Amino acid sequence: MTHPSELLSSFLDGELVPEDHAAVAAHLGRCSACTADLDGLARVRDWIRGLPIEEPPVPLVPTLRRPPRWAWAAASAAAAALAVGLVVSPAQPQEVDLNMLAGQHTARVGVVPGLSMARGPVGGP
Amino acid sequence: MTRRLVLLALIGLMAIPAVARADDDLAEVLLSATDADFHGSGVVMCTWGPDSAAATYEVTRSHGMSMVSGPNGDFILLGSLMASQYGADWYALEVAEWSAWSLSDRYSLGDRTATVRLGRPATEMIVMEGDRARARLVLDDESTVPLLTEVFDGDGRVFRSAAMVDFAATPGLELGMPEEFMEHEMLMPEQPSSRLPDSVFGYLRKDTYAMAGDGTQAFYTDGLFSFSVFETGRGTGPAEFGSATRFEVEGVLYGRIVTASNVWVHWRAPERSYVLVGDLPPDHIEGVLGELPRPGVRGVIMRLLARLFG
Repeated sequence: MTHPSELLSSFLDGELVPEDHAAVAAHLGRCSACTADLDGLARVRDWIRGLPIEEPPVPLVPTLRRPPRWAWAAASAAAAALAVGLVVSPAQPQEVDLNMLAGQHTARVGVVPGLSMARGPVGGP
Repeated sequence: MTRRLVLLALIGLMAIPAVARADDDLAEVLLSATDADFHGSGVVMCTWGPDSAAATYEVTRSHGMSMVSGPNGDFILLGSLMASQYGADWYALEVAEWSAWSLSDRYSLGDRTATVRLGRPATEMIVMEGDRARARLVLDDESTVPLLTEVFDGDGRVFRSAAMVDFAATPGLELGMPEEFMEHEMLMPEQPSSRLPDSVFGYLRKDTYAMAGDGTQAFYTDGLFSFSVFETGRGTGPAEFGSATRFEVEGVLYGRIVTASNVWVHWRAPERSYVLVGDLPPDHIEGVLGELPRPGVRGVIMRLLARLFG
């Protein structure tokens, strides 16, 4: 049997038919590389299962807030000021490309030692 | 009396090298690991409150050149040059100038313990920050490369874990650089922004670079962790932060995105907008943010509109 990498996840979850399960188990008994892969998969699975299930801290749909009554008067004044050109509207927000920032940061990190470089950088946004 | 003073002085002289050596050891570990040749694949996981992320990655390093396959594609690091692959094409970004690396004296190495990891002789060591454990490293004895790194937050919980699941020391492996690049850009030095301090929370601003368009990148490091602060035009920002987790530092709100290897923070100050990205732990991030320009909007009318409409 060649390295059954694609079967390890199913093996771990007990989803293989008995014949495949037995074949993978036999292979694991003599292949340290696949055993290490299985160990890694098991730890990732345990880690993911151990994550807390929590409600999002911020509502996905923002709640509507009723502004205080005085605010309507202020808003009217602001709107009037806009109408007569007293206020210049802010520049249209521009997007910043996260990939570009990740590239610039990773390039600089890669020049010198540090914890990320010691273990091998992962990179990407 | 004089003899006692001489004795105390001698004891003091003997104690100083012992303290200094711990820092030197950590610096040597990091330098040695960065130079080692190896091939490995691993899993990086990061958890900050309700946010968590995990990614697998593969690294081959030889003669100072690293080939990395990560969650966002392949890239190569060789000295000051980083090459990224998009589709079939390679793009190069080269750092024109940089300051020398140094390790903050707030870190030292704790006890070492012999162990075995991935079937290889290894050494476990604790990186101390003052009297608190900041990281746990398990280093491969042959190559000194970390087979496991765990970074702890301010409460001693694991914030980031990077574990090799497959590793081989491979001295002398030949790696190839792409023959041509679709583009080759330089990361050029720029005048530091007057709004960003020279040092924040023990991190030194080592270099400042120009960004494409209007903006600068300030690179800070303490030798163990590092981060960049991108200062861009007022009101700008990455679109990804629309649904980012909000968190509070000293009474003001920031948006954060946690990825496996980095944390991203975005906020808008009255004059400029900022994005911070780095591998530093949460308590350091909060300390750093407290010393950088604070979120807010400019002018009475803008503050009023922000209060009305958020």
